[in-house]
Amino acid sequence: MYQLLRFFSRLKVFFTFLFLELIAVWLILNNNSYQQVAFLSSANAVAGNFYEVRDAFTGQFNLRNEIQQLQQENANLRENNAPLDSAAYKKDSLKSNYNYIPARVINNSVDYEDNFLTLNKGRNSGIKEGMGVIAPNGIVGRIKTVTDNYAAAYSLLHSGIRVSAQLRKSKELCTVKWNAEGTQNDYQQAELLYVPIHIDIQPGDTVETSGYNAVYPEGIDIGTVSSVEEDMSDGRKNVKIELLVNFNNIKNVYVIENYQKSEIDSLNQLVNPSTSP
Amino acid sequence: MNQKNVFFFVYAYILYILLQVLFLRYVNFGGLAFCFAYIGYLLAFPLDFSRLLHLIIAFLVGISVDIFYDSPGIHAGACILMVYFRKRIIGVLAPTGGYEAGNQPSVLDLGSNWFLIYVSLSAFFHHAFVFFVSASNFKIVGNTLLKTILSVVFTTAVLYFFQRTSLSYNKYKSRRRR
Repeated sequence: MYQLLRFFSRLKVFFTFLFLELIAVWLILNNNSYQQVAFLSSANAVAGNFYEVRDAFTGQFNLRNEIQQLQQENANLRENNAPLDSAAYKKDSLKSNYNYIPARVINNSVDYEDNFLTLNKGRNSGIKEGMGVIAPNGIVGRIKTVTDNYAAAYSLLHSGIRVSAQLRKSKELCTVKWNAEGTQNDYQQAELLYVPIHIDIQPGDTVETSGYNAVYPEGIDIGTVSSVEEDMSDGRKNVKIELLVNFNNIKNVYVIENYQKSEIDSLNQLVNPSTSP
Repeated sequence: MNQKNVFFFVYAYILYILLQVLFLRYVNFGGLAFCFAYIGYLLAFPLDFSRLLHLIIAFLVGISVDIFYDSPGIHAGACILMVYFRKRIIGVLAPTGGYEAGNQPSVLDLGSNWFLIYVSLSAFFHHAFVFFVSASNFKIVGNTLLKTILSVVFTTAVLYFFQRTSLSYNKYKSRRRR
């Protein structure tokens, strides 16, 4: 027994190393589950506060640009709103399933293989895990962790994010993934996976969300097709798309709440019990 | 370590982390060379500092950076690895006749060459862990290795610059005093 104790005390540094390293590895492996500890993310109150202060300083330099973007969006919305006004008497049928929560990006990166955003709103504003995040001109990501006042989100530029998409003209289904094979950490490009060879797809086509996963509504822009190559070996097309959102410069986003998400999720669970939301 | 030193290391901790997550995080060259200069904090501990305590501090520093980077565990694991191998690195680099008592791991005490090799070897352990663990695609090992090496150069250059600046500042101060 004494020998054993002496053995351990001689190696206590090594065992501490091993123990702490195991904790680190455990944290890494748990990183991509929604059950992750909230305070170990950038939604943490301290981190959120520092990022907010940083944003208050650095955000000043870009205000003119931001106002222009928001004005452009306003103009587009006004234009789209005019025909809706005349149809307002059919109020019930116009009722939306989605609620848009405006938020500001206070931290963002594009240079890593897994990129995240931090938003300045959290649970108190109605944001929950798993909600979609969009910018005026396209999708941005998906909420990962929420604390009372901040939220951390997976960017579309994250190795674990795949978005169910479709071609606007033919409604053919496909999947958008960033940094898949042909593109290396380029924040302006992504790829379409699983495009069968018979599908007609041309450079310039618009890719939009399919609305099948209850995260994003149908028809939100993702990008435009930039190149198409036929791969005869596996009968698929290699398609690259140009993302519409400039990820290097996103400030104002909307978090999407789907009023029917729980309903859709529980239905999916019934149909296919192996996929948990 | 007396009480004054403890306070100094707490201040330095806050300073290094904030520098890293609010400023250096957003600096990189072409998505290839990144700077993780916060490891300079862990490398600045006295050569005879308790390894057990050092490992625990490394874990805390790593986790703090991880919180800001949204990468729980990656920087913590890298820091622990680096601190664990520090004894070996110091042993390999020992000058003939060994270290003198009270030597600090700095340019002032042990010279530029010693410091540069010490920092770049340690940074290599740290950066290799960070980049290889966070690499999502194992087909791009060459790219990850390139990133690691360029980032080691970047981090080492920044830490060496800090050392040089503090040296010339000290010189300037002592000249003023005279």
